[in-house]
Amino acid sequence: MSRGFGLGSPNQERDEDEAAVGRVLAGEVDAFEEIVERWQGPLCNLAYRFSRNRGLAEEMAQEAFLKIYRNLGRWRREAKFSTWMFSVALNHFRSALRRQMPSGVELTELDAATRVGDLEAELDAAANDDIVRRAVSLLPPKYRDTIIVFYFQQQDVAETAATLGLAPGTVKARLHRGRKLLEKKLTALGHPLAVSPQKEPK
Amino acid sequence: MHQAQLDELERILTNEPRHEPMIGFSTRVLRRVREEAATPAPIRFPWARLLLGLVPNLLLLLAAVVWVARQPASAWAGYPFAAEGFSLPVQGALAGCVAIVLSLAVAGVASRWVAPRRSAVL
Repeated sequence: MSRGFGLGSPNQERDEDEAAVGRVLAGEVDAFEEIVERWQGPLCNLAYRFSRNRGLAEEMAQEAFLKIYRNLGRWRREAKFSTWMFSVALNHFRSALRRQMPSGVELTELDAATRVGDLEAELDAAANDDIVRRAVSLLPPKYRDTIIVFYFQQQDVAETAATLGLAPGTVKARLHRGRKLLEKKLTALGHPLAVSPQKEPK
Repeated sequence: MHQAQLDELERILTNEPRHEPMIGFSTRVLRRVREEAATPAPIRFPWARLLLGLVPNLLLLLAAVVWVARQPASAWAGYPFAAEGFSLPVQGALAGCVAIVLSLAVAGVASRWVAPRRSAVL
């Protein structure tokens, strides 16, 4: 995730991750600090995109780091460490969200969930963006996961597919279906995905 | 979804504000990791030992059922579990169960006898 988070070059990151993992596996527990320092931002942000709640996101990210620590020995070095790490975290986020949020939560409950009851605030672009992001987090899990990871991974289909353990074609199909679903739900809720004039892409 | 809507979705989801973890987050994570590292690994369930005991006992039970089924009914006259109304295979199963209980009891006593000696060696 170097592109998105302004860390070192991908190769440098990869070498540093590999070295740190090697030291942890050799019994130097403190070397895990390097991994936490390097990846705490991206992992907390990914958790936030799923939960839309800062406290819960940090809790989920903390538990994800523990799972990563416990399973370090299972990382096969064919995949990038970050890809493997995000897929472990993703599995944890999914099960944490299943516990936190009843599966029946629907997009019709979006306004209550976002607490954007004020009409003026709803008209505000930032609030509208927030509604779209929350709507994504309330999509059925397979579409939610694909859309969140795709945009988190800077729209890299191959990286998204590797993180989710899916074929690139499946990722594309889920993105297409997920966007359609999102559009339909947002329209039904009276928040159609429209282009605001000041934000019209050049 | 039109291209303009796709672009808008891309803008919204790509430019999501980043949340820095709260101060102390990494310290909390590392404290948990160190605790985890200091905790001895949980003792695994002894599946190998269980199978080692279970397989011979199941074979013994099967052998008993087969053996009993081949015996003439008259051979069982006078045995306590040869009650009327039980077919020969059922009687065999009962005999097998008795054999299993006995062998488990023997194994239990033997493992208690062996365990202190092993720990003394370690």
